[in-house]
Formats: sequence, structure tokens, C-alpha cells
Amino acid sequence: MKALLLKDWYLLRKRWGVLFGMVLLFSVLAGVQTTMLYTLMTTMMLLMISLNTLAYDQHDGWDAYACALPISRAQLVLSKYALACICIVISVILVLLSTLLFGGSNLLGNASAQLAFGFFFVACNYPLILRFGFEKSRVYYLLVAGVLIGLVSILSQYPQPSSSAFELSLFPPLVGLLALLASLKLSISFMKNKEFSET
Amino acid sequence: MEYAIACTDVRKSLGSFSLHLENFFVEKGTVHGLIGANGSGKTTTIKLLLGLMKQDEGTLSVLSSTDIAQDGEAKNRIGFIADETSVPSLLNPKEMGSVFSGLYREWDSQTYVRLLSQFKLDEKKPYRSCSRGMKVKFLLAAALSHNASLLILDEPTSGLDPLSRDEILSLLAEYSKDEQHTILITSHITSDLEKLCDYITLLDDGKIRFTEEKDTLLDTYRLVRTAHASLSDFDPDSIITKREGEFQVELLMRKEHIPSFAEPIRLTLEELVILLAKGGYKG
Repeated sequence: MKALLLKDWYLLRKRWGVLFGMVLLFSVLAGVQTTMLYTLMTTMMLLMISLNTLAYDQHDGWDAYACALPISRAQLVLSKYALACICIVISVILVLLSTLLFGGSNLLGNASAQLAFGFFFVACNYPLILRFGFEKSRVYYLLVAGVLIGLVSILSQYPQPSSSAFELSLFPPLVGLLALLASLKLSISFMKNKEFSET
Repeated sequence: MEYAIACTDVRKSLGSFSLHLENFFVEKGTVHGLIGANGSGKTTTIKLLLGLMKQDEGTLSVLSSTDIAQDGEAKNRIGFIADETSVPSLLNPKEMGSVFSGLYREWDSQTYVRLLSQFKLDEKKPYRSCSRGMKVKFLLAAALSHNASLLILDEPTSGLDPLSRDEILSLLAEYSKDEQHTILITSHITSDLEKLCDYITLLDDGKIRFTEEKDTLLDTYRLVRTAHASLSDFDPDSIITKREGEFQVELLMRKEHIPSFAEPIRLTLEELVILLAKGGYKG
């Protein structure tokens, strides 16, 4: 799997210029502003970088090429989920640093929302992209992103119940993680049955 | 007899197209050419053998593995070039070398670098900026750098200039000298296969028309040219197929059926395959 991540790293370092610039901008705005929008956009932009590797793989025919290499299809899927999780964690770290730098607050709430958003985004989109291809799933994943960002932003406006902040912050990412694991299983099953017929 | 590839009654349907490999065997240590028109099922066969598709029926074994899609051990011993698959277009040979070294158990960096240099490939030039010939050489360098005992190559010489084709064929001929090495190659350029192959299989509309040793094939059949008026001098049952021209008729016949008054002409593999495909192979 390390080799597959290395391949994605080589790919991203050639193509992430503009997107990474936007990630930095959103993370700075997340530290300055109090709304959740920029925080989630930081995660979203980093996930777009991860998502782009899937698009490149499918466009180039690497997904088919890789299936003939001595790696299992489960490892191929796992590497994509691992890359997405790395992107989510980087987005959390960036917003955390920005919040500390610019004197923002709600560190735990931000991290919780980013993890939950990221996990749900990947859980909802990756099986479809692996099953139907990046192009056909494009409208769907933008829709999922919009709905998730809206939902988390709205929920974050409501007053919190009387449980401790820590317990509350753990709950959404944990549910997201469970969804991510279920999605991983589904994606592996899709990939195992995938046929690379002539186009 | 040991087989690198064995397909028995393999069937695969793709929409209106249907492939049926009734008996398709590739002996270990041989070079086997798979020929056929566009849409005859060559690429589908290659994809089945690489585990990129699964057969609907029948048994398929590659290097003794009957589930090649899941068998990493067998895939470590296969080098390939397949249609509609490629390395990431933004990556260069140097980067891909690092990636492959983490994927193949027996990746040989020295061989890879030597082949890149032999092919005069720029290590830092991204795949997408390479010409068709350079891309094939790049993929071939990868296929030959992990001690593979089986090469499965789909149209590796198509679209290449004669010099590049010759370079690739020489390299494959060198590879095939080792008795443990097997090559299955498809090509439209029959002259390439004539230089390289021990066996030829003709696919036609998803079905195997024949599998034959190349030398036997070339030795068995001859072309006879005769005037239209003399056609009645030939036994009609011994004529496999005929090609009528303005002034004469060309007859494909088995060597032993040619009457003594006629002059047999040796055919190239390309001419022979075209005539056999047209006239029907009778074994």
C-alpha cells in the first residue's frame, strides 16, 4: 500500500498548486472567522485533492493497470481511503494551527465537525465513484458536499445539550467512522467485482 | 506438456459480442501469437488472462492459477501491456520505478535503468509527453524488470516505426531464448509474429479458428496461380480457397494436393492467414 500512496504523492505534488493555495486560504479564514463554513471548506478542498487522484487513475487507465499488478483490489481501495483519511487529518491540523495562531476558539468543535464531515463525505462518495466512475458520480458528490456542509453548519448554530463538550465532540466523528468502515467494505466489494471491459 | 496458459470452454459475453475459447493452450517456453481482425476477441482474451474480466463459464488457468485476479503470487511472474490500461500519465519512468519497486517482489532496478537507457528514454519525461513508441518501450521496460516468466502483450508493436518495432522484437526474441520464458502476443502486424512466434492462434468473431505451429502452418500450405481456363484441371475438393483476379486465379492448397504440373508458391504468414480466414481452416 505504501507504493500506491507514493504514486498518489507523486501525482499530487505535480497538480496540487492551486488547490493547496485554496486550502491554505480557507484554513486561515477558518482561524479568523467564527463560522463553520471555512473550517469545513478546508476539509472539503483537501478531500478534493484526494478525490482528484481517483479521477486521474480512471482517466489514465491506471485503475485497470493496477488490478493486473501483484496487489489485491482490497489494497487498492484501502490506499484510497487511507489517502482521504490523511487529507482529513491534515485539514484538522491546519485549522487547529490557524485557530491557535489567530486566537480563535472552539478547537474541539471544529475538529469534531471536520472529522465527521470528512468521514461522511468519503463514506457517501467513494463507493459510487469506484462503482460508476468519477465522471458519472460528479453531480452526486457535489450534492453530498453541499448537503453535508449545510447540515453541519446548521447543527453547529444550535445550543449544545448539557453533556460535556468532549463527549459531544466525540459522537459525530465516531458515527462518521462507522459509516466510513461500512463504506470501505462496500467499495472493496464493488472493486472485487469490477470488470474492465472495452469502452 | 506444461502450459503457461490453459483455457477450456471459456465463454464471455459482452453485449452482442460473445467470446468462446474452446481449447486455448500456450505451452511454457514458447512464443504464441494471437491474431484476428478488430473485434475478434483478442483484447477480451488478454483481459480475461490478466484478471481484468471474469469469464462467464469455463476454466482458465494462468501460471497454474485459476483465479488470477486474486493471485498476487502469479501476478508477480507476469509482465504485461494491455489495451486501455497505462501508468499514470503525469508520472515519469524514474517515479514509476520507485512505485514498481514497492509493488513487485522481485523488482530489478538495475535491469529497469538499463532498459530505459537502452531505449533512450528520458527518466524525467512524464508518460503523457512520450510518443507512442516511447510509451510502449516504457511499459515494456517495466514488464521485463521483475523477472517475469510470462509476458502478455496486447499489440505492443502497433503504431511504431520499423526501427522501434525491430528493437522491441529483438528484445522479445532475446527474452524468449530462456526456456522458462513464455510470451503471448497479439498483433495486427503479422510479419512481426512471423519473426517471433512458435505458435499461431487465429481468432475470428470470438471463436478460435485454429491453433497451429507456425512452421507447420507455413510448410503445409502453398499458393498456386492458374488461368481461369485451367481451373477444371484441379480437384475442387483439394482447393481450400480461391482468389479470382482479372487474368488468373490464386488457389490455396495443401502442399501434397498440388498437381505436378502446377508451381507451388510459398506464402507469408499474413497472406496465409488472410486466405485461411477466408476459406476456412480444415485442420
